Amino acid sequence: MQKDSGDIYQQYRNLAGKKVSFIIFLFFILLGVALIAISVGASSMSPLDSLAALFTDSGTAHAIVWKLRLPRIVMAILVGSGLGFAGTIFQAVLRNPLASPYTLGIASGAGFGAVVAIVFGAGFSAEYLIAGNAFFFALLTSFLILGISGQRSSTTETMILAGIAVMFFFSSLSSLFQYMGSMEQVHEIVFWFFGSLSKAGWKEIGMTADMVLLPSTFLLKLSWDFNLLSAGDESAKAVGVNVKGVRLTGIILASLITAGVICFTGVIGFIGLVSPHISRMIIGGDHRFLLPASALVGAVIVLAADTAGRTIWAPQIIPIGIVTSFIGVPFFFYLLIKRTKEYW
Amino acid sequence: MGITVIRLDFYKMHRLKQDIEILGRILQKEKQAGQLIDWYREKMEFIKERLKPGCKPPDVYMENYSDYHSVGPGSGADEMCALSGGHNISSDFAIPYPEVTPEWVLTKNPEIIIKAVSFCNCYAMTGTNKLEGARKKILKRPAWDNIRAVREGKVYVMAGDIWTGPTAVVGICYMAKWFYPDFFNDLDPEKIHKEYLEKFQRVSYRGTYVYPYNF
Repeated sequence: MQKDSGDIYQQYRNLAGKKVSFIIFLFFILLGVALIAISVGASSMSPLDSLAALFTDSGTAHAIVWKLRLPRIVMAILVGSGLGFAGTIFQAVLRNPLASPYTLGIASGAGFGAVVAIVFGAGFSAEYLIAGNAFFFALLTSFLILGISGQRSSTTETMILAGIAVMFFFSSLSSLFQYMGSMEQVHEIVFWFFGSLSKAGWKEIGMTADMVLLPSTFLLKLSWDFNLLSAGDESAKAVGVNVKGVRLTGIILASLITAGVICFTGVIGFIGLVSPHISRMIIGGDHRFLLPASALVGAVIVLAADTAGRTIWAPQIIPIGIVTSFIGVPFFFYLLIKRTKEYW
Repeated sequence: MGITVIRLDFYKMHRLKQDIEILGRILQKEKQAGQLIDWYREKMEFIKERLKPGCKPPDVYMENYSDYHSVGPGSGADEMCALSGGHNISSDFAIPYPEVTPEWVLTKNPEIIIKAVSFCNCYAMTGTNKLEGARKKILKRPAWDNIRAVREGKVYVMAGDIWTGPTAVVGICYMAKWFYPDFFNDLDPEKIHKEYLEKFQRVSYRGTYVYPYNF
């Protein structure tokens, strides 16, 4: 008897150990990609010189590495991990594999906010007019969805459906304003929807970091509740989970993360949907491990995509929003075909 | 149905004369179209003549309305740069409106930066505040103090009104003066703009279109 339970503990430790190793493995992958990202760029510096420039404190090489490449890398990591993390939360609290910042309409809401800023009253006077608007509309969208789904006995399906409806609604509104806008404005809108990491400096990074790290730290503490939610609302309630409260907290905080990320970068698609799935296929659905893993997977994809996007066709950039899908989709398909057991 | 459709660009400089001619014929205003073409040709030839004596074109970074979006071949602004005697650093790109990294601009180290801005209506705008603000943002971009144009203050902001399109000739005059201040002492872009608005558009001249203006 004693021996048996010892075995079970041992097995559990082995399993948890495997998951932790995967997370550590992802961390080193991210570090590797970051090292590559810091050593490539338009300037003629060799990769080694670039790395050496990290330890200088003046000069052009220092400026390139510290003021241009490093902020870009940090922003890519924040964006990727934020979207991966938020996507996992949405999928957990709505118990739906299709939930993501996009299918819930939050990205379209942010996009619409940016369009409003660009077409009506975009000026240089207010420094964060576009970003502020995008942020505000992203949050507004999530409250709208919460409001709509709160009207009837709110099942998770109503929320997804409401989100998709809201997505179409905001896309149409954006198209309408785009149609009304001048050529210059249409130009700017199109590029905003491509997404870009060029515009983020250290100041923007600080703001995004707050909006990604604080909510995620809090949400990570609710991991057990998310695990219990996956067994269904009734079972979760039966073991004492405040289902409504957890769902509300999850949606609001994940929306905050999403808004904080995309307001400075524009639309970077697909990460929020696919990072949780990739991680779930590999390490399963325990959110204590799944959340950090999804964040890391998202960070690796975005950083790799941006580095590829600014290298492959240099000096032209392939916008990040386009490359993420090119890199993520084939990998996702590969895992979908290879997986042996039901993972969701 | 056999409906004939005509498409006019009005943003490609090399087709501008032809576009005006065709529109003149369609509207049966050939005389006015001819006048506009002559006026246009006169200004362009003036600049071309002055540029002849083997001057070295300055490296110019031209930025479109969206930050870090440059102009490549096939865009109106790329043609404008060449016509005013500048060398657009992204003129050998593969696409007309490419996004570039700030690092690439820094590496190219252009002598002059020209940024297009749009505030819906610069014709109704008084004062230079908005254009000044746009310029300041470029000067403050991270690490760009390493670029020659920024160090020497040769960063100019141009309103979309005179950036490509039929009024591009005004923009070209400004650019020619920025590129070669000594060659074009007697060229007054504001006067040319006034002429265009009063003679061909029949509205009075006002608004703010470039910053800084002083040469």
